[in-house]
Amino acid sequence: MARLICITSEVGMSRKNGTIQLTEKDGGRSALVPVVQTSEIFALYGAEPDGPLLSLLSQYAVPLHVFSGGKHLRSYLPASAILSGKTVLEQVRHLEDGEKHWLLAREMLRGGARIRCMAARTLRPREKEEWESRYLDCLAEGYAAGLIGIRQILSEFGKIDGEFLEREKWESGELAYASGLARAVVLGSITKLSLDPWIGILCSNGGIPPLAEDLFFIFSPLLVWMWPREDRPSPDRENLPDIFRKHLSRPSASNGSRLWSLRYLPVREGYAILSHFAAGRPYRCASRVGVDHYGD
Amino acid sequence: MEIENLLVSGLRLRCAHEAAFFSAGVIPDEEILEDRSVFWENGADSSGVPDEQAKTDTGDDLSTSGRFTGNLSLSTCSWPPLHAWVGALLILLFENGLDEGYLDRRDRPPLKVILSPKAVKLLEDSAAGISRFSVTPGHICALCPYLSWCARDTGDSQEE
Repeated sequence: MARLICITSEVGMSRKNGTIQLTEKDGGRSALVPVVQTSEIFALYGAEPDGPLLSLLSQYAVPLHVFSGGKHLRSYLPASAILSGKTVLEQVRHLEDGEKHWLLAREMLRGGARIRCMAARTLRPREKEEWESRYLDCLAEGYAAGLIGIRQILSEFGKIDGEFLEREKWESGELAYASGLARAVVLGSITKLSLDPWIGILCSNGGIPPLAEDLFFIFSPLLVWMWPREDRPSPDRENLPDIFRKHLSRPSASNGSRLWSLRYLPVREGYAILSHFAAGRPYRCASRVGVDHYGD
Repeated sequence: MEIENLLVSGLRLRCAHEAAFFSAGVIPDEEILEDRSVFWENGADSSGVPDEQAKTDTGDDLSTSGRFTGNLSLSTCSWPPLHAWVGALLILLFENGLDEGYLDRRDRPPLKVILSPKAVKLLEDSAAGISRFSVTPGHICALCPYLSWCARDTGDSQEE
């Protein structure tokens, strides 16, 4: 079984005999990591990969995310997992049709609001009516605004999110780190989908590909807000890799008897979108998604 | 990509929906996403050899087993399921005018595949554009890895 690798010191990364060689910047210690045992790499304290290494990671479809000082610097995303050009054509054809595009966007807004209500109810049960009412009002405005008003509505959602996170007492550094890690998870999921990440459904621009930004909008309450309260991420936290892996492995959705972890929720959502484009399946955003409170 | 197309055609012999899901790159299970055992087989020969040599060792040569000389054989992987490989082999047998072939399976005995008159009819129908859809859930659906993606989404979570 392949593993998510977190590197906890600044390293140089190169290819050696078909494996990944890590060389510590301070101290010069080196280690070999088998690429076939690796599903994704988070270099938490900076990394300098060379060309042959990136080619190896691309060959084995392993995304690499580089962080430094609690900030997400960049991600290297292999594109070899994209199987079918047909689905991209379907994606374009679907989103060029204003009515179909709106139905999909509308469902995505509903899913985003639902996940937010669920997270608010779990994290702040006494205030659940307040948050539910605010998010549902915002959703109703979104329904009325249509495709043209999406940017405005996303901004409204963002404002409410900000107030919620303030009440949850997130420090800005911790929030930026958690958001960076969550964005990296979403970006990693894009590499497993036969979709063009530059064609978004809700978002049309931003720092990361619009489709990834869409998925981040839906799942940020689960990936960021529901991070264990006592163990929020910071560059000084030594056990961050363990907490991060544990957080991502929380069971979050099911398809029949098959469970999906928090880490793979964006992939699962991408599959639902793909099924809608390619096989005409009805799209239900974040269907059967639910995460228990940490420790429950 | 040639084998991908062949597998899609093989799946389409059973159900067009299943072929569409596979073609779109949908994987029905998180464990399959993480299971890189196929790479392990190929990876064993790439560890400890120079990079130049590793570049050429990217896949299995179908003729390496040498066990089925004179027959058509196909080495299977853990994904997609066996019936996709059976479908792909049936197409290869049909196109090459052969009657039987083998699926070479890892850690399991090889499977003999015979191009029966029923299979020929299926292939002819498929070539004529008559595709099979599993409209009514039944035996085929029960064995399909994509069942949960095809099933109608009923009773959602409590907040709705």
